[in-house]
Amino acid sequence: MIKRTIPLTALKAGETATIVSIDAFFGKGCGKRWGFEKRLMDMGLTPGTKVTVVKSAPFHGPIEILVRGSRLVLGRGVAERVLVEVEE
Amino acid sequence: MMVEKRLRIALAGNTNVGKSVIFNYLTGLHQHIGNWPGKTVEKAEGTLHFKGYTIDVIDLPGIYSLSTYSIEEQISREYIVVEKPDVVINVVDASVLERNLYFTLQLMELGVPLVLALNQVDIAKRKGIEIDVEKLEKLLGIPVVPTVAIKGMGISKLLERVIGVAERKETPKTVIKFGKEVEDGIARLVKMLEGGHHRYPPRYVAIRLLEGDEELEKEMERLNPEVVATAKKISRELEELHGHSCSTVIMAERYEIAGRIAREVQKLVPPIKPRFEECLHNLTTHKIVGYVIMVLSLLAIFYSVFTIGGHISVVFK
Repeated sequence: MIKRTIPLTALKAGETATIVSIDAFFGKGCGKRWGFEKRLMDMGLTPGTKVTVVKSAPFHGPIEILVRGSRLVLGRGVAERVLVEVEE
Repeated sequence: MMVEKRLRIALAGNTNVGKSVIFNYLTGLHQHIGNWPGKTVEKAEGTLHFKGYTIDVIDLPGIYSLSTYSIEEQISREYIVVEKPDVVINVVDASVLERNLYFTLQLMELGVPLVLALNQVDIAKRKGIEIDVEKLEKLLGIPVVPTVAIKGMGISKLLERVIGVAERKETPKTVIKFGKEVEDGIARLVKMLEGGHHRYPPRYVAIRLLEGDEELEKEMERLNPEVVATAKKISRELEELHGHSCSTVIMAERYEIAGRIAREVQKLVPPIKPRFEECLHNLTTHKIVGYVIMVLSLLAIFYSVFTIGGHISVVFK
């Protein structure tokens, strides 16, 4: 079994993966690193958690995920920084 | 002369759990909406009378955590710690118990008198989730009252439990323990903090310092710089041990605990057919149908503006 680390946005609707880390250094606004990471983790996106993509909006819109029994909608830019691991 | 019995309670919880519904139900028209001094965050206060008590209620902003990342979180924490309400009612959404309990655990760390309002139990049931209230009460060590706020169900029971807690000045009996390594770190810090008169309980300060809470770090830097230095050392040790930053480890462990409790008290039953709102959500967020609905509703607005507007302008001519 090979494990691959990819951003959350690379998953298709219905696919499940495990969170590895939150890459807050990516792109602009990394000065707010602590807050960004913390915010997502407060909402349940801690490493080791399983996430399922429920729906992905067209035209690079937000994506809806299922995590810890609650549904969250993340903007594309935020979701890109959530790194997940898939098994193949 | 009879002494007036007065209580101050605060409503706290995640967003969209029905805090304001409970607030409106409790206070009716006796409420005052303003702003928190110097902040553009709404402050809702109200009063009610119940069993000889005059109760002041405050509706805190909806938040997911008690860190001080956002203004709302700062306000809520400041209010709970500085103003010290007699009881905090933690409103939780019964259908997303795990995420809500994460916040409950943080309130318990603060050591405030707490009552849990398990709201929207009817919706949870529709989704196929039944919750063992007694078990939840036992696991958390705080009173739990199931409510359906929009129908007013369970509200007077909630108030009775609140008064009970206030009269006995009950704080949470159970201390929720983290993993062994984290607990060791907390114990070391608590030992250093003991005796110092601080507005937060020592265990809370210890946990927050390990989580890297910047506000609290600044505050403690003045009072007891040694503790901050030790906390940094311990969090580096924990980071090496777990391979994640210390705050991540603590947050993940807290969520693990919340998840474990949630799984233990939840009983999954077959869900009743999806609600109307769910169907509507699925339709409006659909790849194609969503856009069709958008265009149709815009056309409907234009159409009604021009036809109804046309009739009205005739009347005014």
